[in-house]
Amino acid sequence: MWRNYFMATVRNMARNRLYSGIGIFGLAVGLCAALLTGLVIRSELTRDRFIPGYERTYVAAAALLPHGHPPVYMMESPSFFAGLLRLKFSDIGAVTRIAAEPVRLRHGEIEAREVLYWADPNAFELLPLPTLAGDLQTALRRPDAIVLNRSMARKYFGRDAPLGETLLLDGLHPATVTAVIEDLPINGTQFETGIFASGLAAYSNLVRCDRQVEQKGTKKGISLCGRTYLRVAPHARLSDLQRRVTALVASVYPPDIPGTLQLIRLDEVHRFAGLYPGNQSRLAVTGAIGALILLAACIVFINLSTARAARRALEVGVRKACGANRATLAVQFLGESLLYVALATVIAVSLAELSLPYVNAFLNTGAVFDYWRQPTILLWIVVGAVAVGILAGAYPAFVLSAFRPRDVLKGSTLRSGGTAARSALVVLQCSILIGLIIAAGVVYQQRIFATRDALRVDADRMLIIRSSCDAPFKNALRAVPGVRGVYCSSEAWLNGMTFCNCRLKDGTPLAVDMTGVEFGLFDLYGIKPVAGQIVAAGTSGDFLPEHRSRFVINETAVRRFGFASPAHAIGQVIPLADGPTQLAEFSAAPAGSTITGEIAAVVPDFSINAVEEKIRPTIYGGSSRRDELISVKLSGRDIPEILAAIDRLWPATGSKEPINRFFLDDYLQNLYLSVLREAQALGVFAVLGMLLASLGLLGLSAATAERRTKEIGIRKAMGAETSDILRMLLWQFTRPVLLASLLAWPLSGFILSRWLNGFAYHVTLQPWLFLAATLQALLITLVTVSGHAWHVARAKPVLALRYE
Amino acid sequence: MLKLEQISKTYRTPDVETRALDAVSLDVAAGEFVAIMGPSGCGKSTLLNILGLLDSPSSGRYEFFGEQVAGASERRLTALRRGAVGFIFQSFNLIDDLSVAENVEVALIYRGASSAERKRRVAEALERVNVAHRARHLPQQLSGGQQQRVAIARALVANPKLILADEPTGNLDTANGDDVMSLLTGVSRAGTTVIMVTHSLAYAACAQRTVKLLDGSVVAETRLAA
Repeated sequence: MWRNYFMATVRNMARNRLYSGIGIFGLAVGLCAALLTGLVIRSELTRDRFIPGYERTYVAAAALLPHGHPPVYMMESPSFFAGLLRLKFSDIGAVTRIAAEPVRLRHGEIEAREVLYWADPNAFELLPLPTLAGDLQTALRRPDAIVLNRSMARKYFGRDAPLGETLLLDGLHPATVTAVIEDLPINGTQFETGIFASGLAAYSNLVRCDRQVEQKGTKKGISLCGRTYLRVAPHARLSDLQRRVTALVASVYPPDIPGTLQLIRLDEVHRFAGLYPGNQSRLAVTGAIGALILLAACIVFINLSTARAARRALEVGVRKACGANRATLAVQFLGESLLYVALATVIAVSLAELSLPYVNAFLNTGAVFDYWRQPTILLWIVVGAVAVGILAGAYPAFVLSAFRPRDVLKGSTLRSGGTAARSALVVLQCSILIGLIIAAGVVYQQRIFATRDALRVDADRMLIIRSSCDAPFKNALRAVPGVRGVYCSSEAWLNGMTFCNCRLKDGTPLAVDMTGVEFGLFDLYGIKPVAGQIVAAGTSGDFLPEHRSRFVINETAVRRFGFASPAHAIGQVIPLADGPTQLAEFSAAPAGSTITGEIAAVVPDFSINAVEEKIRPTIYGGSSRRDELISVKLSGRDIPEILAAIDRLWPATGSKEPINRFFLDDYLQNLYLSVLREAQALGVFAVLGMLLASLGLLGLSAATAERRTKEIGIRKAMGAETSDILRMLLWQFTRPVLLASLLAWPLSGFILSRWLNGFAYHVTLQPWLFLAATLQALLITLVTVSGHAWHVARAKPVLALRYE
Repeated sequence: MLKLEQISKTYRTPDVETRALDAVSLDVAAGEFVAIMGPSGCGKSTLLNILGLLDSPSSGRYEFFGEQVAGASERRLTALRRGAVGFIFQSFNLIDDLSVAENVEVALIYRGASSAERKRRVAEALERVNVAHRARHLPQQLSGGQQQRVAIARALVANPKLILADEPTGNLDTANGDDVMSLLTGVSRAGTTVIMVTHSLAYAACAQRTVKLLDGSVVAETRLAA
């Protein structure tokens, strides 16, 4: 019996190569998309899980809780907490610190800049990384110890285990290789570079931090230095521990710095919204789209199977007449769809293996497809394929096995089953397509908006140099031909990370951004004041006590300070009570410094920061030597020559580091990389959706034309012209697209408006985009089906009638 | 009004060449009722398809109501057919997804009749073949005899000058077959030309002339006295 079924299936496949091909290829595309998204999600969910004991290992990330401002998280924490935590809490088993720093490594002729992790000697107790050579437990006990991964060992020494060999750090300090670890998964860990050096070294970052705390204490602000990792005892209750840690932090921090240490499990760091905003939702979106593509592929398959059911009707009739019951036939057809899915799975797995490196490069992920090493993946693929086979095969099996032999064998009119259900599925598929097109459009618009319109500053040909604001260097830059203007600012100009926990005169707490600028910067960036005057040179003030100076504020500050209008604010004193402590990245600022300046001008709200964040009230004040950024506006011509000239000026600053310069445009592109990737990924998925929809429609139009051959013949015999038939067939496929729009518009509108709400500044959903998506879907539909429809509509009616 | 001269029709496949009609010549006068008889595969249906402009001959001349149509374009054939020919098939050829009334209406849709007029004429035609009470049913809800009467209504509704019937009683029992034949005889008497393919000598006797085909050629013609 099974052989008989199998032969029927294989011959049916062979006889209908077009439909079988479309069905298998569609399923393969859907399964491949699902497999790839599954692998990407898995890699994101299993980051750092290769480290034994990750379930009890946590990062203590610094959290700042300013008034009226969402919490600010940073992976680093004050270095002294490590000792404190171990001392105070018995349910914390071990604590270690790791601080990243770029250094120059050299061995013989080979020299390169690498990021190295300074680590406490017990680091590998908490993080037992896979060892290749040496003893990790003791590896960092000597102050000059260095641990490399396999790639680095090969890079500098040409072999895997160069134990006892020496590397030179920054050209000064010899370091001895005490252990070698395996290469860590790319994009799968927070210890990416795999180079660790002993934090006991006098020149290590950790020692420098400890010394700083000894000298300054904590009164004048908090310095962040390195990450603190801790392992909790097996019985520890995390919520309770977190509460006690928060209480400890509050007792140590100065009273005007509200903050805590957030305990984040090792494998959850990359998904923690405070550190990596949007990562979690991005994973959800990726998963949802993968599932949608798979669903679309199943729909293609279901539609093709049922649309062509009439062709199998005779077989069903004969089998039933010969004694088959419905159940055995249902099993036969289900088996058929499983065979299709099995073939598709083989193709999908090969496609996934081929395309995974590109997907990883594109999404910056570290997904691996090592099913030979992890048989569970194979098991999941089999389970998934069977599930898809049942999902896609159940309905066709139900329809086909329901044919009554009496009707079939009599050769009387046979309505191929499930017309209504098939129409509903086509509508569903079209709505997935329309939804994807709308989503791709909105994400693209938001990207353009974020990188151009939302900026509201002139970022064109703006070069930024990270450098202290030396007058001689500035003047030298101004003298370079092709440089239009040079002004300094603090780092906050770019990242907005400098704000004070201030209070208004009436006592209302208010977080205010404080950005140090030379006032000429506004003109350089094309920002015109909405009230007051900005006088560029010589009038810049400084955030110093008693220093009465002039400030520029933005429009949000005008509102939050309670001024009636920008004009009303001019000449007024900034209405902040008591001395705010600047929380510049926790760095020490003059404690109790007070802003007593007068408002000279009001500028429109603008931000060079990510549009995810709302523009805060901002005070732009006097620049100082502490400034870190120099903005250089270039003329349009000879950019390479100008850059070369600027690079030649750099050594004169006396800096040992190479010049760190970049164009603002590139910085912004980088800032919006996640949105860009999302847009591109959605674009790819939309194209996949289109491909699947086209495949489905192609098959369906062929099947429909075939099914309606008799009707077409009759209509033509009755005098219908080719154009009448063509119109009839095209309308048949136009209707589901229109219906699908009714489904897709509100649904995608709802989802996308929620997505947009994640941005403080975003585009509005525009009706034309929805219409355009429908039109595009219509176009795809008509282009796909018109070829077949034209062919059928032109046929001589006698051919159609003879078919009967 | 229909004049076939040396009409041949050949079907070719890569392996086989089948001559369905071989130099058939035939005249049919206006209002005549002609029966075509012959064994299976002798070319009856092919002849009927050519007469009804559903198919074109491989060679020969065909004058259709005074117009030479052998080699005419598909478009021209459609236009001629639309104005002049009604078809009745052995297997009824009703459209499964349309109701009885809608099936009959199909014959009017492509002739540009207004919606109100179509409705009126469909009702009349259904009345005429006595299935008006089944107007809203789907074809598969009807008996074979009823289905064929619907097909006849569809053939008549546009008042064609020529009705071509391909074994209209082939799928029917005697009682239903008799009904169909009396309908066709009535149509012929009213002045419409009817050409019918049949296997039944009794039904052929209803026609004024019987043409016998064998292997694609006309082998005999019998004219009955009126």
